[in-house]
Order: sequence, then C-alpha cells, then structure tokens
Amino acid sequence: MLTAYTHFGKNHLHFDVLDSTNTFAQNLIAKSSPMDGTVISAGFQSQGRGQFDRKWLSNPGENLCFSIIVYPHFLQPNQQFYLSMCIATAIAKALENEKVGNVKLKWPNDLYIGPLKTGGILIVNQLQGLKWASSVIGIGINVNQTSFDPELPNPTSLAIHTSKVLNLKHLLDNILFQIEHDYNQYLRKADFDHLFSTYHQYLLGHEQAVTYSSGEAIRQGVLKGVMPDGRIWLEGEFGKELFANGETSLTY
Amino acid sequence: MTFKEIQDLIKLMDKSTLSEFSFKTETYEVKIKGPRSYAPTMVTTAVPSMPVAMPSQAPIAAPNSSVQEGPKAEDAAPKAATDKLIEIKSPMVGTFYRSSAPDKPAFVSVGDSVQKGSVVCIIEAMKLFNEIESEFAGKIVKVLVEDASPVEYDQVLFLVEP
Repeated sequence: MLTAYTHFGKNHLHFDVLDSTNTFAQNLIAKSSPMDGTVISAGFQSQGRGQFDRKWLSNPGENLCFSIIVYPHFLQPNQQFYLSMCIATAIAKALENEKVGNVKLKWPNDLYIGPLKTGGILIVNQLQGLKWASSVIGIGINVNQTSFDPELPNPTSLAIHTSKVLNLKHLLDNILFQIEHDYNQYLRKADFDHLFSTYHQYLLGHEQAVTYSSGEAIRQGVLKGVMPDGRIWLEGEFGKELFANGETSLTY
Repeated sequence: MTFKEIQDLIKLMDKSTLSEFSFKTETYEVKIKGPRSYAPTMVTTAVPSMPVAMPSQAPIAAPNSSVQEGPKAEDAAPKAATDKLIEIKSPMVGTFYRSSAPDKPAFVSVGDSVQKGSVVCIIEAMKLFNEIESEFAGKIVKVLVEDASPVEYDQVLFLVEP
C-alpha cells in the first residue's frame, strides 16, 4: 500500500509566547486529531519545562523551542528508545549541516557541543492499553542566547560556539527536514542498526574512560555504548554493568 | 552520607522485618523508625524535591492527615466486587508516577471516575514519559503501585469498576 506521509511542519502553529509547546501539543492531541508532523513553536515559553517539570529558561526570540506531534503506531512501546535516538541523531546531523562542530549526544538524549549543554529533548507519549497512540517530541536548543543564568552548570549556545547569529526559521526548517527524513527512513523502515551506529558516533564519552556510580560504589570503566532499550553499558573492573536512566551517575 | 545512601537504607528497611535501625560514625548518626504495618513510602532520586513522607504515625502528628493526600497506593476495593473489576496494566518496564510532577496532584485517586482516554498515570523509561490512558470508563477502586516505584511489563496498576 502506498502511503503519502505528511510533511513535518506543513501544519505549523507559532506563538510569540506560550506556556509550553509540549503542554499545548498534548492538549491539542487530547481535544482533536492534529495531523502527523504538526509543529508547535514559541518565541518564548513562560512555563518551559524539562523532565519532571523542571524549568527550562530561555530568552525571548533567541532560541528554538518547539514540539512535534507524531503517531508512531508502527513501533511497540518497548521500542521507544529508537524514537529518542532518531530525534537526537537527526538534530545532531542538522546542526553539523549548519557548520556547528563537535556536536555530541549525552546519554540518553541531551544535545551537547563538546562538554557543554546546548539543548534538550523531552518526549511525552500517549499510550492506549498496549498501543502507542501518539508522541509529543519537545525540543529546546540554545541558539542565539549568549548569556546564561550563572546557576547553570555548563550551558552554551550555537552562537557562542560559531561566533555568529543564526537564522532561527532556517535552522528550524533544516532540523524538521532531517527529523522527517530520518523518521521515515530509519523508524518506519525499522533500520535500527543505522540509528545505533549513528547514535554511537555522536555519543559523548563513547569508548572512553568514565567514572560512574554503581549502587554505593564509585567505579572507573569504559563507556561501551547503549542497549536497544536505552540502558548504558559500562565496562568496569567487575565486567559489564547496565544502567537505566537515573540508576547511575556518570562523570566524563 | 548521600541522599542515595539514605534512600538505600530506607529501601533495606522496607524489605527487612526491622522496626528500628540506628547507625553511628564519627561524623554522623542515622536513625530510622518504621512501623511494619504501614506500606513503605518509596523515595527515589528521580523526585528529589518530594518530601520524604514517613508514615503518619511519626511523633510529630500531622495537623490534618487529609492534607497529606500524597500519592500512595490506595485500597478501597470491596472484596466481593473484585471479580467484575477491570485491570489497567503497565504496557512497559519503567517507573510509575501518579502525577506529572512531585508538586502536582495525582491524575486519579480511589473513587475517581475515569473516561475512556483519561490519563491515569505516567510511566517513565529512559527519559521518555508515557501517559497511560484508560481504555474504558469507570471508577478507580484500587491503586496497586506506590508512586515513583518500578513496574514490570503487564503489571496491574489500577483496578477499575466499569
């Protein structure tokens, strides 16, 4: 059967100010049936959030904050990490296309430039029974902001790194183009091997020595990569150890 | 002593038959008391801002226990009716959350009516947050899992009276 996929961003709602693009998108899904690839963006989020509603602060008009609505019916709930990898690697590729060097992904899905954080991804899925009904993919990237809250441990932005001001609309279009391409090419066609190898190419600390916590102990080891379910594989003096997000603390 | 270590101690206590435990070094002293008759209060590093709510038998009596309606497993299922109840199960391995954030109210509590499509909980795995929707209308009669605790695939989370 031939299926025509909707162009990501064909349906695009932009707001100068919004509480949170993810919240808006989640409400949209609850009330209507927004088309696949619908994009919600905001010049400024008054209630921008990271995981567990942690605040995500960003100066008005300087950064990208947007959410994409997709319906990954063709994946099982236990394949969710593939979506996370697909989005993260697509953004990394798009940034490289914009001549941003040293783009890294910090496990599981933070966007880094070298050792500094430049963005994050927050994915919220809606599940009906065992069926994965829809996803809201929230993406925040520090683009043209050059001063940050001194409380933040290690922020950076694309402008700081490239020493130039970037066109937000152009950047958003390029990111959406890459995400749409990779979503269709690797997720729909179940080419997960490609996602794995690409993710590992960008993975911060891959095949390098790291310090990590294992229960009470602090260990040295090598970051070997991730498993299909997203758990990280660390090879220490006691051999292979696997941790889910939140189960270990890593120092690169 | 780190938060994680305290958390591990509490977890060990929960699994043991001890009702009291104390431990002292040159620099610090830890005392934990917990009545075995109460359900253990789960505390995880994922929600550090959540107050460590010890069961309310604690000497400092809560002025109004109804205020402490923090998410915890609830049981109000009349035994006789359990055979016609519908189960809401976990579609995946992850961590079960009853609210969207530590300071937010629970999505549902015992006695609440849910509609088809109502979000009943969140299961988090690898920083992906899954809103679990009820597939049918009914009334929540039992919450089987503590907030912020791990769940397995197919584990029963709620009992619903259709």
